Amino acid sequence: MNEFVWEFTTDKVRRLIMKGIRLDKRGMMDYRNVYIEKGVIYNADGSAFVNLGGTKVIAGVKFELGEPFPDKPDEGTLMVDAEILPLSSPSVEPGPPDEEAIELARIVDRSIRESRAVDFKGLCIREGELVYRLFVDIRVLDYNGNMIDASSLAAAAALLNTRVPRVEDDTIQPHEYEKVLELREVPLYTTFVKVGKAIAVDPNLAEEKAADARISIATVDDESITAMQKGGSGAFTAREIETLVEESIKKGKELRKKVRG
Amino acid sequence: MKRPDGRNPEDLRDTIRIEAGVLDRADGSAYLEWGTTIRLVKTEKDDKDISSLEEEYLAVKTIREEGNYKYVEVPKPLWKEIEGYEVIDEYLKGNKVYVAVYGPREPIPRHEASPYKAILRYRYTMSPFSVPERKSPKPGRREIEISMVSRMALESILFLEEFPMTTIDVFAEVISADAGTRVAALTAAGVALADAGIPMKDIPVALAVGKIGNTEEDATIVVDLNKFEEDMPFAVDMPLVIVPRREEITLLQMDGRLKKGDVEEMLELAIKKGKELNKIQREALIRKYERVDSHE
Repeated sequence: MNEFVWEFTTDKVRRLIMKGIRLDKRGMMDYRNVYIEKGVIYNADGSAFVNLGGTKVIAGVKFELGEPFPDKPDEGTLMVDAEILPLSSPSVEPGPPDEEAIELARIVDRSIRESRAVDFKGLCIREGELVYRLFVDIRVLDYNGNMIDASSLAAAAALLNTRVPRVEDDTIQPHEYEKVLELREVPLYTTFVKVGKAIAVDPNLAEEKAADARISIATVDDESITAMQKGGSGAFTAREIETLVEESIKKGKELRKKVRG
Repeated sequence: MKRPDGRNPEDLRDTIRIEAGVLDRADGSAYLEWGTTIRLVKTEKDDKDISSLEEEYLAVKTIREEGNYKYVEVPKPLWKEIEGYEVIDEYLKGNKVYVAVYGPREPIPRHEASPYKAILRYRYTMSPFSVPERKSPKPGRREIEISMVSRMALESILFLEEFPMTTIDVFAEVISADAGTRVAALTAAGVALADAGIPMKDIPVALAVGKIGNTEEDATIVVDLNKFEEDMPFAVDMPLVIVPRREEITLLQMDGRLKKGDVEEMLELAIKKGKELNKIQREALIRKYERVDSHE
């Protein structure tokens, strides 16, 4: 779609959503369809494909061996990388990850790290010398809005599908596995946008473009909040954020059923 | 010499699937899967039939042992040998590629535009998790070279002169790799370009032919090498882009050691199998556009 059509659509989306109407006929707190397929990549130690209302994301997990960080000599490490591929949208140019992709990688990273979803001590082979390095790589293939939720779903589904490779003589034995990666939590983001005074969950691309502000809240099973990120230049009131925390706990529960299933 | 997965020398891999129009934002797109379908068999460790199968065929492989049992991967051409065994999983081991085409569109940066023709850009990249050892996300020398030869393979097939002052972008992302990713990407690109409605002389098709063996003397000419074959002691790999109707070649790379006569035989084989692959491309396009017709 060219810029003119976008401006036109954005304007219409704004006017309608402020009256509580969404162009795709959803209610303000209705999530789009989620399709999840695990174990799609042969060479990955864990992987998942997610289609969230047309936003298609693939996440792959791989292990390497390396030295631990000096301040955590008995813990494995985590690295999350995300790329919004030029395949995904006419507005994405090929090149190194821009600020949007780096933000995406970092917020998915934080939700996994801070929820202590992965037992990093369990990924230590020899203290101070050799640990597993866990890589989660996210690739956005088709972009129809809300890539934060789609990416966090894909990362969680891939981690739930991950097996830890067996190590012999300090090298990883391909396709031989020690154990299933134990995931203590399944952190998932729920993203909302604010247009004028109206708030809607799981924005599609047009709604995202029309939005003044965005907020993503990651929750886990026991209703704890493990990460949050506010985006866009608009503002939320404290009251609104309280309501959205409630809502994200509800949505998180539903989504976790799907990602575990 | 037997091929590692039990194929005949003139057989393409057993599973080749293409779907057109899979990405909603792109002007044209395709998703391709190209590999072998594996059945994972659970059997006792000392099972003689499976063990002799493992000795005979490289692709029949124990990937895990558990107590008295082992888990063995068996590729599709050998399934008749495992009738009656317990199959616990079935999955594709092979290439998986998404290709998106954008354009003709306004070029970025604008000064790169040509008043005579559209500028074609081709970008081939591999996801970090597509290969056995995690690939760094930065584009490497290999990806840059492949992108260049791929672009040139397509330039003469497209009527670029119809779209001066524009860019046509072809983006290929390999999400799973098992030998022959550049030709898998280009075969998918042929479908994605047609899906985008870019005028072409023909739908380009890409595949590799080669010569494999334990020594140069016992080597045989084969089509569509998989990873096991690429890694054999003697292996020649020749990726090609073919314009099927004119039987022309617009991409050719080769490394290894060949006799003069081999080249002729390999090109003939490639053209013959390219036409077979071209049918799969056309069927993918028909499947998509048939659906549109039925709404009218």
